[in-house]
Amino acid sequence: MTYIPAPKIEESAAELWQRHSLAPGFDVEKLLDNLGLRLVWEPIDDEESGIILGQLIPGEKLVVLNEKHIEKLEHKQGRLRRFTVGHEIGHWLLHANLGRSGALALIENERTWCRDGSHDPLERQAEMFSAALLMPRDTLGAALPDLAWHGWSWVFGLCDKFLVNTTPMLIRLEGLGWMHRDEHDVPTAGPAPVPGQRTLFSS
Amino acid sequence: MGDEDGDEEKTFGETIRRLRGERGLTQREVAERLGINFTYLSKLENDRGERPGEETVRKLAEILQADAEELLALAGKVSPELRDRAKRDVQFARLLRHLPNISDDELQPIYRRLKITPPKK
Repeated sequence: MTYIPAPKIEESAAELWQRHSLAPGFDVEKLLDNLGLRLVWEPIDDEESGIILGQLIPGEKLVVLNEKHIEKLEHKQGRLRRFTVGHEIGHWLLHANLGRSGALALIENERTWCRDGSHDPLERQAEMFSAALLMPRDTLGAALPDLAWHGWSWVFGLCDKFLVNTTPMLIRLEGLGWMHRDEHDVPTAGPAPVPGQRTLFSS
Repeated sequence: MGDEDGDEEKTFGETIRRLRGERGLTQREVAERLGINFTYLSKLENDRGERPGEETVRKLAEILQADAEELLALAGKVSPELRDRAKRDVQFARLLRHLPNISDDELQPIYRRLKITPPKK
């Protein structure tokens, strides 16, 4: 198993962002073109373990998006498609060379299968890469309000700016320690209070 | 686009994809201008799916500022005029069947007469 530390994944996405002069909500398909990766929409049969949104075929430099889930992928300006393409780019940059040399167990039949909600560590790395690519730390940080914020409207506003779904945005903000859920599960600025902190100030 | 291996163009799909990249257009932009679904264009660029009709190829050539005849040839499209004549004229159909076996040298006078630039050797 190849372990790639999170900072390395962040760095790899940031480097891509800089090299291609990307901006929030950038066109992921144009990025595929610039990386020399081809794109095709084709129906792919799902598996019992989960639905398949996309595939990477490293030997053909080809990203396949599952036409069977086009509605889901294209919903709300293609937010899930953008995340899936970012995920495949992650596999291409982080894992594809390993796969070509036969060291990557994830690549079955010379394809990387991207299953929705997979807990495979390499899938998680590709997911982290996609999040870092679509919501880079610096750019996302600059888009946050200066003052402490509370409520869903800020999160929805960020989702519209970065063209991502709410769940990956929440995970990203929480992961960066820039947000936590309050006792009513409402997004709130800042990291989660350390255990016991609340009780110290409560009556 | 960043993966060109050389000047050789083998297929219709590779050619339209390369031309699209050179024009700085995305699949979606070309598909919209062409009036086809972007999923279909993605298949064409990868030499999958059914080949488009002559009219679509001509319009695609216009969008990509390409030689329509070259794209039609790569798409394996034969003009309706040629097809019609071959249907009603058996000798002409025979001639067409022999054409692939004629050497470039033998074709030179025909190219000259029709003012067509001969293929590079």
